[in-house]
Amino acid sequence: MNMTRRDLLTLAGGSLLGALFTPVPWKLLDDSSIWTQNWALIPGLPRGPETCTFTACPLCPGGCALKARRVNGYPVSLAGLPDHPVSFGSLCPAGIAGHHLAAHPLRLRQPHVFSGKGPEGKLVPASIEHTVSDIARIVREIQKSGSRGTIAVLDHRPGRAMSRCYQDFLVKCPDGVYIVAPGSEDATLKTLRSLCGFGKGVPGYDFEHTRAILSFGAPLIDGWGTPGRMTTLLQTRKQSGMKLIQAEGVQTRTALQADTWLPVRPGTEALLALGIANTILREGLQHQKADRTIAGFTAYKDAVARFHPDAVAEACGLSSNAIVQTARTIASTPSIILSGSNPAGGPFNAATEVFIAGLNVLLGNIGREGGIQLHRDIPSSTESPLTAKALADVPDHSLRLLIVDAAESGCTYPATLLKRKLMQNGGTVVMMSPYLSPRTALADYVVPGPAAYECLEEISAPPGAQRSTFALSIPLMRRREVSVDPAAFLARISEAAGLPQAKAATTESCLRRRAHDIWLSRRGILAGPATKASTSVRTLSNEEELWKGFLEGGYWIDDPGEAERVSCQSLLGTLSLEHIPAPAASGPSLQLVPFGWRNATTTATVVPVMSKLFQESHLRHLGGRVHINPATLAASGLADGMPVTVTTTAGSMTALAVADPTVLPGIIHAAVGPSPNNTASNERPEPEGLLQLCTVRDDGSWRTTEATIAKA
Amino acid sequence: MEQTAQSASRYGMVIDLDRCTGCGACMIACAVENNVAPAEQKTTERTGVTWLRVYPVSNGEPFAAHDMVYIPMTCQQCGDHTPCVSVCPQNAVEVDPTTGIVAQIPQRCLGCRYCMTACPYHARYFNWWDPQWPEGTEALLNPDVAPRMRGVAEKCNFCHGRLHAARTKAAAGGKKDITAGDYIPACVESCPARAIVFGDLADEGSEVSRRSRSQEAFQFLPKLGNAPKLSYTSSKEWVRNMAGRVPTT
Repeated sequence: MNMTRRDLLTLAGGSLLGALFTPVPWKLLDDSSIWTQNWALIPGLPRGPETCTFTACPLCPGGCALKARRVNGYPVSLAGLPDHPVSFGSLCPAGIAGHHLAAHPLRLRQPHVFSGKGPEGKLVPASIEHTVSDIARIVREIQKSGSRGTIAVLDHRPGRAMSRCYQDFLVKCPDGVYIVAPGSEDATLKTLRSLCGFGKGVPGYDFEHTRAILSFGAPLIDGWGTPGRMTTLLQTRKQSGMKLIQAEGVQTRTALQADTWLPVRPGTEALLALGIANTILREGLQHQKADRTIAGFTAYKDAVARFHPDAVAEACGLSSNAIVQTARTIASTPSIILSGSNPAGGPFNAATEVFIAGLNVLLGNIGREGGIQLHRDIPSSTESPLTAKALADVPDHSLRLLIVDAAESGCTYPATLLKRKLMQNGGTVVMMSPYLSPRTALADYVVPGPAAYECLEEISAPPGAQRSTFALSIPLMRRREVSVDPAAFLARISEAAGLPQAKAATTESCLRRRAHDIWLSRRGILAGPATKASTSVRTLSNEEELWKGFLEGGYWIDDPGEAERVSCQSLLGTLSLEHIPAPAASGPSLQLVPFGWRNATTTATVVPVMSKLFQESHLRHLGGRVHINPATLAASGLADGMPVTVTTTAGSMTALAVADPTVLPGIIHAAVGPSPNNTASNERPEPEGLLQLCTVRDDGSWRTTEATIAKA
Repeated sequence: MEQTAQSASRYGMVIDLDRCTGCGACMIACAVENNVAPAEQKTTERTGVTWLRVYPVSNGEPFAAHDMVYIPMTCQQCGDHTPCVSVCPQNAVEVDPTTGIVAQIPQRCLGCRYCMTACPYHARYFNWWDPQWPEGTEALLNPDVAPRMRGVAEKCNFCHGRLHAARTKAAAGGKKDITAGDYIPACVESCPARAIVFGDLADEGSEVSRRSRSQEAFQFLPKLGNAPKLSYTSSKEWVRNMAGRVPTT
């Protein structure tokens, strides 16, 4: 048979057509997709023995207990402990991915020195010996010069054993000043301490037994206390009958979950508090013995008489009925009235804090079940050698050397607050930070501290807790050799500067000292998360046993015990009646109000995977955006998504406008969010964003700033 | 694909929107558990990969009457006429007959993104970039979940790695199958508000089944008839109306 060209083509065509109906092309398609994958670019997964470690989150003062799943010695996941008596089992998003922080792209690998301040300044690597020698030289200079500037340590998380170590160092320095960073979570408790005689008692909120909470801006369910405690509290509302009233100018997550939301105009919270006080006094809802037990009660009552709800309602942007109803709700039951703000907002001004905290005194909430109760402080065999000073109270231009603690408070503050405390042309800032962050832009020396889960860290009770607690954050991975233990660093400076050596030369020895004090006190129980059993400290035969319990993830919880009684109460403290504002004070037409989220502000270091919340979705807000009510935006001739220039007395910046109906008209809600994906040059940290537009007042508050916006 | 009739279990979720505070813990727990890489510099909300995404949803009213709800949206694990299964030319999407879980098999995926187009819930994501973690993070990844490569689609699979681990543990303990509570996805475990309930919908006595039949329960886009295994509950009528409420009872 002759094969013609036509036959050949027919055969080929037919075969091709037939092949289409076989699995071959599908297999080829399938295989081609596999062959073209970029396998080499996919990371290998860890392999090895699997273990479980109980530890606690060191990222903020909440200190949530957690369980770490470890593979080959490295943590691969973290989860809260549902039955935990202190943290109630939940982690915040930052805590869930906290084990990734040690591998952050902006992790510092050695000490750095800024060569030249200002925009031209650059981070230059330096040896630890060089850094210690430079700092010791400054200490010696201060010693020689007598009164020319002081040495200070800024502690971001006071009350720890490490804080004591800082004080021990400072007490040996000439005019050493121990400073605590601003934070709003314990603002009301601090104010109450100035209004009432607590003695050695530590105040805490008895949320579990209260019937009403009036919160002036505290983000109770979004970065306040421990997430587990606060969400449990909300879930049990139906059974407990507790009412939550949230007073703030933005419909935040807490406002959405509240039983009542009072959209008070920012800057008028003092008027609202006084309007509530007026109603309480007018209707005789105050504590029965208020006139006998509270100092200056009659004068206060007379002064507050001017603040009838009708007189303040308009300025506050509320109805007078809402003020009256709020007063009745908090007065009829044991209640808690507290102030707070998001981690970028800072505390209210001192007078507002007093008016808010004073409502607790007026209603007799101090020392009452369901109110503010006192408990004993964590045991300590010796008194603190130095008194803590608020950053705002430090005289301007007085600090020659400032050492900034590496711990995270979860909050941020404007850099100007810190800058103005430094001596002009001579203030030196040493930052102990594991990462390069916008905050390190202020530093002359950056010393890399250990990252989270790389070394032992102390977990003490968060502000507002009802009992003292103590636990350790157990390391989950090896510490990088380059990281410097803060206590050891101070000891090296002391040695090089010829100061007497501190007692504890490492963080571990500081913590052991605290454990020793707890053991000596014979108080409390050690709750072991692994066995879920509790052991009384009294039954432990030696302190090593207690220490071993801590290393296994155990939590020490103090006994309820007898706390000191409240010795005196006042409604205004050192504040004079003149500080009470006029009833109808009206604010500026546009106000800049910064907002952030705990552990995720512009100055915080967040793990790259937090991009899921900030960059890959609109759940949280990246920095550089201003959220404005659509009506305000339209009135200014602006639109959603438009670049705008925000101007205050502190300067102007360009930001992206976001039309946001949750924001009260007249407010520029400025996002002080992080850059989770910021892997910018190690030579120059990013600036701190919109926070630098806030005006810091003399009392250290920056909550609202008069501002204008225009099309950029 | 009528596979649900054969399912021994039908795993599903009920999410209580009254409880959800929109904190985002579920999103991060999901990303950490399933080795979802952090975003590239250029990644946006449209090109990111979030197996579970929480959407803030407004009632559209002006300030005084404004209300909001946070809706965690993930693969709805459609039970009938699963759109992504029917459009995939590669058989890269399968419904597990023993669990009812809709699984994505990245090794088979061609990257055509038909499934993304077909998904009415926008719950599928495409890897536009090679997955990259900062140096040193490799040792911290979950060894139970293989990272996916550039050019493939992916989605929630109810933390399949956890299901495997629970089954292995059960087998090691001499049990034939896992029991309720042995296996829960990472988002359920991490939710501080306990807003997500997970379990076997086929078990009528289970909490998830009971909640899915409550008066306040609803599903998204029920008119499509996909029989999603995710239900939501809300006491707010506007929220239920928004989803085009059809009672699930």
